[in-house]
Amino acid sequence: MDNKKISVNLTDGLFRQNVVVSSGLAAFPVIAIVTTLKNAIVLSVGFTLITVLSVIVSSFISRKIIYAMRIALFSLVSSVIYIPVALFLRAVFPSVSVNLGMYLPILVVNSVILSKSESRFHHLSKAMMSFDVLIFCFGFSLAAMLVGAIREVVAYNTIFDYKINMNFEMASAAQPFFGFILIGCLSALTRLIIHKNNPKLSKEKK
Amino acid sequence: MNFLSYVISIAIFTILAQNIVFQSVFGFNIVVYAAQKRSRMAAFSLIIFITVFFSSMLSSAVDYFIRDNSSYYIYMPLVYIVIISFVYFSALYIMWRFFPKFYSRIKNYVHIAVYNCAVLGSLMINNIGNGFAEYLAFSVGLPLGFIIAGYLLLAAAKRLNSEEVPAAFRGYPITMVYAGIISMAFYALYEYTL
Repeated sequence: MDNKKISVNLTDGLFRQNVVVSSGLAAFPVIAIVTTLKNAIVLSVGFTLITVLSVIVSSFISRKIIYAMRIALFSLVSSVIYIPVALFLRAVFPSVSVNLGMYLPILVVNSVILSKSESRFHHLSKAMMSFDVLIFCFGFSLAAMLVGAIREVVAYNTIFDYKINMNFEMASAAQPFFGFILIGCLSALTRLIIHKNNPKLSKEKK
Repeated sequence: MNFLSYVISIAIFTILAQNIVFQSVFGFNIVVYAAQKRSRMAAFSLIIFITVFFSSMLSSAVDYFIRDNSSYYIYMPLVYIVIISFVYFSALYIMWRFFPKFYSRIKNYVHIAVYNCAVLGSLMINNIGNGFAEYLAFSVGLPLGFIIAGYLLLAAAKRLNSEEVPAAFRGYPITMVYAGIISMAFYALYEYTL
């Protein structure tokens, strides 16, 4: 049985280990589908509900069960949790949840649930784990909303459906390639800011 | 058009114009992880191909019976995870029993290659297909698209992590920009195809 205890910084999920702009563990739906602020909000709600509930429920799965089996159980748990979450999103955000298409169900196998649970969340106490996973989801939501807002302005000249008068409109900003490049640039910017505020990290890297 | 040429043409379209990594963005973090080492990329390619192919064949049978159910989209992830798990445990048993050397080499990351967005996403895309021919084409084309994406990243991995890249961009950020440029090329191909 693995009793490894790890020390964690509770702000990791916001910046240093942000799952979109730092580690990329959950960047795929943001690149593909977050083209408006509305999509970003609904995706963030779905991601938070699925991830938080799955991590908490799967923490009750005994660590005596072999790892290969445990991962399968984590996926089963999250796909069961997806059922009420999908019904909830369908009821509260009927049109936007349809826009998310297959990117919402795919969240049941996101790496925050499958990999981060094993390497981080399940080594913490239940209360600490819940708080930590919430911070990671908040970090995801922040990044998704930033990307959604930028892409909506550039691609459609709107923000939350309100028209903005601008001289240029680039419809291709809604395509995945723009998402890749934008997140790459945001990632470099985040890294610069983190290293500027914490010179120790820059020295460690060297 | 005969069956085989129809399957091949859809498979080629799926590999290039509708690439699972650069167009649908399924499994991007997995392909980046796999593309760090040549041996790991080879193992991931094999595992993902086998998992997607056999899971697709099983899911085509399941979809045939229940895809018309209006609430199927809610249960779909659960159904597909059960199918993937069945293939996963069957493959693990066969590897452990008949290929113990290969099993001991891949046992540390086989679960990452199986439970990820690329595999589940492939089954979801398959669900759009009509008839066995399209299921077969997708089940070959989607994992091959993943493999091509992996080798495109592997080819550039050393340069993307080299000292020549400014520190802020080194590694993950420049990999995203590089993927964006390749994605743009695939997008152009897709637009041209249409």
